[in-house]
Amino acid sequence: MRKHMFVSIGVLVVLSMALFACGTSTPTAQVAPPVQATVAATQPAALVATAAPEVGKTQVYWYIGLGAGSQPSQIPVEQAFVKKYNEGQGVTDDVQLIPIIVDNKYATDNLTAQIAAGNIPDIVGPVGTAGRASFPSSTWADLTPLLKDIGYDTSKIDPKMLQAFQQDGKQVGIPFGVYPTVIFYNKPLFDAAGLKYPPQKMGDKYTMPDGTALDWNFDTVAQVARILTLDKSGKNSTEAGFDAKNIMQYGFDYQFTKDDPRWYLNAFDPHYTVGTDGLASITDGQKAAIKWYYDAMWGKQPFLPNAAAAASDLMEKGNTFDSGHLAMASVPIWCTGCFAPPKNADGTANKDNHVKDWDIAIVPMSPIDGKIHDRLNSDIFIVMAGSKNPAAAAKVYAYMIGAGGSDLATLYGAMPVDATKQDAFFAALDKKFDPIKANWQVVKDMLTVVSPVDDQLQVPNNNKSNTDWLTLGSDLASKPNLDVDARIAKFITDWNATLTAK
Amino acid sequence: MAAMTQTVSPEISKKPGRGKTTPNQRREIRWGLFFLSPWFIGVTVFTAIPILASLFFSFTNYDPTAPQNLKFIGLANYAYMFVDPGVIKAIQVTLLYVLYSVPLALIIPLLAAVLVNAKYLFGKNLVRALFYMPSMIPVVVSVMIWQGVFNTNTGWLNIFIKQIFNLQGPSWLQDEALVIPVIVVMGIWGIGGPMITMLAGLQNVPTELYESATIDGANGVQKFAYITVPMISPIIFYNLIIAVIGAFQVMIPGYILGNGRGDPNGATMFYNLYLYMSGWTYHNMGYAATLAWVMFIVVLVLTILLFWGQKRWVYYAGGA
Repeated sequence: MRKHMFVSIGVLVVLSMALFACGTSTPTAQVAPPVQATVAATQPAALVATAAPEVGKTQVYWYIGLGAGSQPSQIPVEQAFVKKYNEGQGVTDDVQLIPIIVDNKYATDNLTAQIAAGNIPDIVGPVGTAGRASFPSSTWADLTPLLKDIGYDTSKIDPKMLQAFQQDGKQVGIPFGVYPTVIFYNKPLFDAAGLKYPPQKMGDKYTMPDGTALDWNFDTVAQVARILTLDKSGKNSTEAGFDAKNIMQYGFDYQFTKDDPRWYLNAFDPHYTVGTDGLASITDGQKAAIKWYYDAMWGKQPFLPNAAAAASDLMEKGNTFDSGHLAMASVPIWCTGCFAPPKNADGTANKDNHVKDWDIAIVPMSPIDGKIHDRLNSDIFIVMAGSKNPAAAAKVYAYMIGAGGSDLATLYGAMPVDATKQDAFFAALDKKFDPIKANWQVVKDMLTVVSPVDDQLQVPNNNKSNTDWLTLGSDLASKPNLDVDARIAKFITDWNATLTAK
Repeated sequence: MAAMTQTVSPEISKKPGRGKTTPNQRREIRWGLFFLSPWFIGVTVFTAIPILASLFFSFTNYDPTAPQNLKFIGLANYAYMFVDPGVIKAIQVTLLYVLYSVPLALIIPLLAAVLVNAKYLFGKNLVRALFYMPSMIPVVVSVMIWQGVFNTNTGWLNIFIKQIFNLQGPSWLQDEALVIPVIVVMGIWGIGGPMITMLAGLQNVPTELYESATIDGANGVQKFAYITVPMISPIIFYNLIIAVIGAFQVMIPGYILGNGRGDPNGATMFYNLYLYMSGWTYHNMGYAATLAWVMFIVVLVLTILLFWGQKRWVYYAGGA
């Protein structure tokens, strides 16, 4: 009897282990092969197929997606860059560059799995502060000895810029590009509404249709955006009978940034969100930013697409400005990499181009302190500490920030930190978006009013903190009738638990 | 007698005692092991060793991005589980899902099997195939399709509600109260396998039982309750085990619909999703391994309880 019981339990344990290991996650529980954690997204694909390694060459794997680079419009350009390198400098270097392109939504998890499995790519990038903060500094190689070995001269780079990309005594990146935030505006939509374009010089006011001159701050943006938000019947959101459930054009969006409220808090009140006591520190000004944002989506006169609207085909699944149905977008200039140019490379009209004419304007002033706090992103490329071919990776790296840098800068909208190269960068953008001519002086001006606080700085328990912020942002963007004060209070409680957790 | 004894084969005359095998038997055993070896090797390398490795990692602070910092921390991960608010929330979400999905995972396939087994159903083969086909679609693809169906603005369901009832449908995937039932509905697509097994069971119920019941004056419902269900109870029991284990393992719908983090507001943060995030997003693989082992023990206990309880309601026609 006892033997029978032990045998039965033993069989049960083995059966459970086998079922557990092989079980499926479908609710009606068919036993199916395990599903991989890195799942395919809708657009773009989570993993774009890499090339086959060529015999006799050293393969250098370039991991794209931790920052920019996984938008559908960017992938062909990146592949063209890789082809150009492999057929040119790569022959000299005896290196084959192979890109691995992963959807940004899954890139952090995917790269973690790659590292854990020993399939560490050689180069990662472009990646900003937020992407780097998701991994410990031991993940990144020290570039100093690598670049010295190949004779790359870093003496011409501003030492302050070099210092900005040092971590734990290591030079983890050479400055590749900076991306000030601007307001992109769709000129035909403003013309159709009979509105003046937003100001392009700091200090200029905005003139409303009735002739009133207003400070260009977020309250004015809201007023203008309401007029530019139209429903199916052409009514704007200030008019009686406006149908908020059938909006066909929006006035304003924090494009690509709304998942994490930290991306727009500092525009109102720049302040590091973790206090000296290690707990959450959200100022009243930052709470006001959250409420402004929430009202913009769910208030009586909405003008900003909520999560469902932004994810729709009408708004090009999040690439809202490029959809042609958004009048103004506040976003760093890396977003020029997301816009379809008016013409294809062969000069024919690009059927994916929906914004026939656009320009850029200055970021609005904070309604709290009356100042502009421009959100600055910056990108670098990184060589991985676990790279199997660090010397070859260094050669490719040098090409990416050197001879090939201008191609990548245009692709990613990365303004060179070197002021002497910036005009050439803007000329390349003009060529890309010909015949559209933007006033790039606005970008240079925004560099002078960069926010003193980088919202992407690493915080304690960084990845879990990111989840807490993203969950808050998701709730704000997807739930009407939310008690915002209560939700912020709950967020602070939850986040404090994360900040103080092990 | 001696001559007779000598003509008998030495192998046959030798009765193997404890531990003693004949050369023939040893040869057969060797060949048997040889043909089983691919399976043994596969299970050892791809199942047993990873399972043992995860047990080891559950007692460490293993970070997959910094393996050089590996340290033994004893039961600290297990202790933390009991105070981790993320785990508590994940357990609540998962239990809610199990409570909704398991009964449906039994009732709906059974009803579908009864329908497909109906005497006068036209196009039985076609109907059976149509019920089964969705289960061939990969989980990820099916979740993405349903995501489109339940989209608040452009989803077919809300468009249908708007057209027919002139009402705005709810935010199916953004409402914390609705998202779990929606995921349960998505899972109904996968009833093909259980339906087929139930159908096989239904077709094996001896018809003379129904004839006898008819003679005794039983109606359809009585026949179903007192003949059909008991006779297919072993198959129902099998599907119950599979459904319970599968429901506790759910992760993909939460991952895709919840933006990889259990949105809205943790309502789709299933236990396995939290386990995945602990390992890959938060880089705490040691803790993730702990969660995996605790889940295994819970499901094992549940399975043992179900097996223990089966003697009360599962009828084996050939005897237990």
